[in-house]
Amino acid sequence: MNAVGISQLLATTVRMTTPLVLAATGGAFSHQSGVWNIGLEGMMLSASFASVGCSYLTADPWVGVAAGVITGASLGFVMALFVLRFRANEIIAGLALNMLCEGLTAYLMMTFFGTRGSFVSARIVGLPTVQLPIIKEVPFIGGVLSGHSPLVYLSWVLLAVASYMFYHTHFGLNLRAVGEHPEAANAAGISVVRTRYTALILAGVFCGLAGAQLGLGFLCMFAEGMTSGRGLIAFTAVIFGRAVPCLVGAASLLFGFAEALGIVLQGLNMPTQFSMMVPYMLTIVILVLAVRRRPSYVLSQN
Amino acid sequence: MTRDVALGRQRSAVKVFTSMLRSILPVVTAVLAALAAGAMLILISGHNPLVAYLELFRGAFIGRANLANTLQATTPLLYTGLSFMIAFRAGIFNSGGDGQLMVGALAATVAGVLIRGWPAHLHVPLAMGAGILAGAVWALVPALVRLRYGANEIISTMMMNFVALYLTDYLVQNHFKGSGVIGTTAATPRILASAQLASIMPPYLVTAALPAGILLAILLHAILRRTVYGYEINITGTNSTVAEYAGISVFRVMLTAMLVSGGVAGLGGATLIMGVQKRFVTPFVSTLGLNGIIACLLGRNRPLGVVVGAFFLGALQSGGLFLQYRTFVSERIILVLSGLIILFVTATELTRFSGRTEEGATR
Repeated sequence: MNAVGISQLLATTVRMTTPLVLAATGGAFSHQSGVWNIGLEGMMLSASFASVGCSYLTADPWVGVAAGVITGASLGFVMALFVLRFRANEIIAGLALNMLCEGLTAYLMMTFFGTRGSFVSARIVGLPTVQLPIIKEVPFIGGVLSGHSPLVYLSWVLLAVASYMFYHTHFGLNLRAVGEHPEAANAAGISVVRTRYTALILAGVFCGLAGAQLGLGFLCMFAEGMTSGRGLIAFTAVIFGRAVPCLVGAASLLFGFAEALGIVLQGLNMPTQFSMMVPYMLTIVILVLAVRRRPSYVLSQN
Repeated sequence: MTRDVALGRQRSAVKVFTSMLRSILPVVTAVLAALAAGAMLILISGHNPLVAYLELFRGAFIGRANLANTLQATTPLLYTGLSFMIAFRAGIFNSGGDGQLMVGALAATVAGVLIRGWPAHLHVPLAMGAGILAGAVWALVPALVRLRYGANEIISTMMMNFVALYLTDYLVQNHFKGSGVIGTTAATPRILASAQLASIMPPYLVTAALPAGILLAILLHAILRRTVYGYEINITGTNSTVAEYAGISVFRVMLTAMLVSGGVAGLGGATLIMGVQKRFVTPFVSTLGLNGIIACLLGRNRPLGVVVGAFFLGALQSGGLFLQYRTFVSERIILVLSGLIILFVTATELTRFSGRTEEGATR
């Protein structure tokens, strides 16, 4: 592989990492608050649909992004409502949310746009690309870092913001206390339920951005189940990084690289199926490396 | 004295009935709530929900052909539901039913195509055995990864689904392609007649796999209720620490439960090929595993409950296809309804009538 190939691989990595790192940052919020949020997948998928649909209708990608964020936040609220208010098992509720979103997006796509499988149109306006001023001129690095959608850069800023919030603000302290020891946090006067509501809605907001990037950041289309496990992979990044933002970001980057590698390998002589498997296999390996103790969730069997 | 005994019996019968009612009622409420929410969605899309649900019901139950379709759809769900149930009872969340079913289906296909000259009464069990084995092997990876390293099996089993999808696609496309399939999909050659399951409801594709699945449910019921192993599974699933203290090898119980779980899912895939599809079509898109989870939850994690849950979902599915054909309401509504049902079923506070929460404010 020559320098152009490597530059392409890294640029693809940057692009593919964005939805993962956004969803994983959101997942870090809910995970820190002590809720296992598998629903990231469905939130991302629905947001993707909403952003593509709204971009198609209004010809403004930013309206699409806003629609994605609102959709994600609403689903975060629904998840919170069921888990916190109605005491649903969080694992099963997440799974149900994913299934619901998969069906709902397909159903609404059929209803509103009359297509099955995928929705492609020239009227879907994608996000603009950002040319970074000085970096663009640097030979190798310019090609890698410059020319992505604004959400690509925003994602890393938001990761830093999340990191600051977790360790330097009141909210972050409450969040971690609630996750660490809910009874103690409760005794200290922190509202466990309210904190978890906030965390889950924030997770939805981040998934909304992730979905918008997936739908409008590069390809400008929506396909049934187009997240194809990315929400779960993001969730794995959260577990692997123990919901610590820097580690979560690093894990996302690793997964983004695996995905990019899969895409680049398709161009070489490797069977597509094997290159497609790479991120999923890596996820299992990462899971093994991540925890060396028993999982902490509880299966309710009533 | 005999009258006292008789009274006691009567009272216990009433008790059993009320306790059954108490466990079924939330499920019924959840299903109704999901149907109500689904009705709103159908309304938004410009159709009459009453007409749609009527067609759904007709498509599921009215007429021999429709009923046969429902039974045909029920069969694989029975296996994936039981598969999930066994692991879940032992405290493992096996969301990899789809992958295990897929590799089981391919293994049975390979055995059904390549092994020639065997009589049916040997060929059929052999192909089924291949399916069971493949499913169990596919479940072994996440099981070991969980038990040796404590890695979350919910994620790893789902990842194994994706790996199975691409692996089977690769194998069929490159090494095992038959002729006669149009479009972007590919398929294996047809399995030999000696490996096919005969219909018990000709001309429809309802096979002996359905009664066999019900028998399996009864067998599992007996195992869980009456054997030491079943007892060990129940304790391990309820509280693995207690199980460990009681001298039960949690590792052994969970591992075997997961292997059985994968094997049953693989068997479901095998019977699907041998009874219905007769060849493996790739990419093998399947939501049978996920629906098995719903069947199990609807059936309150009990083997015989799974039979009811699978039948309900089978009816929903065959009714959904009929609905799409008759009214242009997309059958994707079924996926939405399934998601809603499982969401409402797990929302214990929403569907329980005697209010009051026990845990207080700490959740």
